[in-house]
Amino acid sequence: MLGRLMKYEFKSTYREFLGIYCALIISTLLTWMVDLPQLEVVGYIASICVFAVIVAAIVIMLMSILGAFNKRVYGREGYLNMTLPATVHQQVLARLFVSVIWCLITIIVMILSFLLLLQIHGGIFTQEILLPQVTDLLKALWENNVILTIILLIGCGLASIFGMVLSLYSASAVAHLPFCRRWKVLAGIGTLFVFAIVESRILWLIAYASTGWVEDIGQRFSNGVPTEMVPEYVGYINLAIGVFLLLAVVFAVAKYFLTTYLLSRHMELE
Amino acid sequence: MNDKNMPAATIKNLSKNYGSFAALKDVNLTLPKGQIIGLLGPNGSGKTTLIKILTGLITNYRGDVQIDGQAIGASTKALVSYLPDRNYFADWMRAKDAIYLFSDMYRDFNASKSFQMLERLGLNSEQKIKSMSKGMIDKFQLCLVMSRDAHLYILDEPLGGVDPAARDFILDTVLKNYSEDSSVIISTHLISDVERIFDTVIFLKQGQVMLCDEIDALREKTHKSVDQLFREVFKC
Repeated sequence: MLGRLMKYEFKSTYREFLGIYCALIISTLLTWMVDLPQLEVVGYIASICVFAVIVAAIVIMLMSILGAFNKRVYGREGYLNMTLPATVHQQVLARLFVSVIWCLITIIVMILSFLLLLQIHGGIFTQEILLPQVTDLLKALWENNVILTIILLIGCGLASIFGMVLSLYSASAVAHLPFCRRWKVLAGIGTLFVFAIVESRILWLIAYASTGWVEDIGQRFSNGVPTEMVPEYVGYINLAIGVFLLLAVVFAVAKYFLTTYLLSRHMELE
Repeated sequence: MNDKNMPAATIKNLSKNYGSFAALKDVNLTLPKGQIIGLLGPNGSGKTTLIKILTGLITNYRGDVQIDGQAIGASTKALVSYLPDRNYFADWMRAKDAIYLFSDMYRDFNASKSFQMLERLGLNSEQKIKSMSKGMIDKFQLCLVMSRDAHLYILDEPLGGVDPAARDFILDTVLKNYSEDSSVIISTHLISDVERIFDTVIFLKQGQVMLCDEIDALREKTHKSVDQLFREVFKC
């Protein structure tokens, strides 16, 4: 059932997101077309426009995710979707996974647009990149635990995306509670504020609790990091990132259960 | 779970408030299996609220509601075929998309039956649903709902806003396509059009059950048609 729900969620949402991606790619290609040596300023203005499109793409992506959830759960389409023989968990997970996939694709398209911009204006891919140099770089990263850092950072990014989408879903679920209906938008925004405050408080508490540890490390490496101690230093960084990853996962899970609880016990389709 | 002795649905001490307004007040009902049940009442009597609770669209209520002996959830949604009083399709959907969706999601859905009904309605499966007239959308939705072999069909105001010929089509479709082991709940306030097909009627007034009886027994007791009785009970 989860797979089928995801299939229909993709079918329902792909038109909006393809539009965003087309806008990104076309605007980037346009900078290439207006990249005239004698009119450099036009090229730079076009590049600024691409950045504006990238920012707009992020905003539109978030609004599309929230809009899709509202429409398909609480709108008239909810009369179809919420009467399908699926559990609340399946309903939320299907939408969550599809939204996260769209976020990841949007990020990839943005990165590609950015790299295309760099190629157009800086020719970064026409320079020779020698394979042995890449191999040496990877070896250095591995020996110094930096590959793990990169994995942890990707994990943090992924957990953050899940958390962001679940924040939107939870805010929507709270906004559609019977006593919040008259002030839906305020209730939704208020919920997001509460999440931000609670999360920042918890992060501050953890940062405060680890102040001593951070100061110790700072003192140990106050005169720079010797080469033989780089793996240890990177290990401490990985520990810190690991803690943030764990927190991101905990926040995301809390918001997931809030959303599913509200849909299971307080659903009231108008 | 398809015990023939088990009622289609049992409702015990069901109450539902919208703020200070009581939409349903201590409703107790046992809906029999294999019957067409009329859920009758004026606007605001609680019919749609009751239906939304049975279909799982309202989950905060007091009381106990079961369908085929199971609490409302994913398993009961697989047993219930629901026709709401509005178009619930996404704008991007064509008729065939809706049929394929039902086919994917419901094991008891008969896609070929649905396509045949679509043809009889004179509709093209490639046609976008939003380009259909309201009457056509209502008929198409009904075809989808009745193409399922469900335990309980729930039709919320299926006759509202359609012409008399369309009403006959709707009633005939219901009679021809529901299984005799199944129950059908039709909520309406257009009594005279549907009286002929009901086995049992429930009168709902201001959230309370005023009457729940088999039609033959009712006519014998009161010597009145359901329409006449309705006008008496719900006299303004």
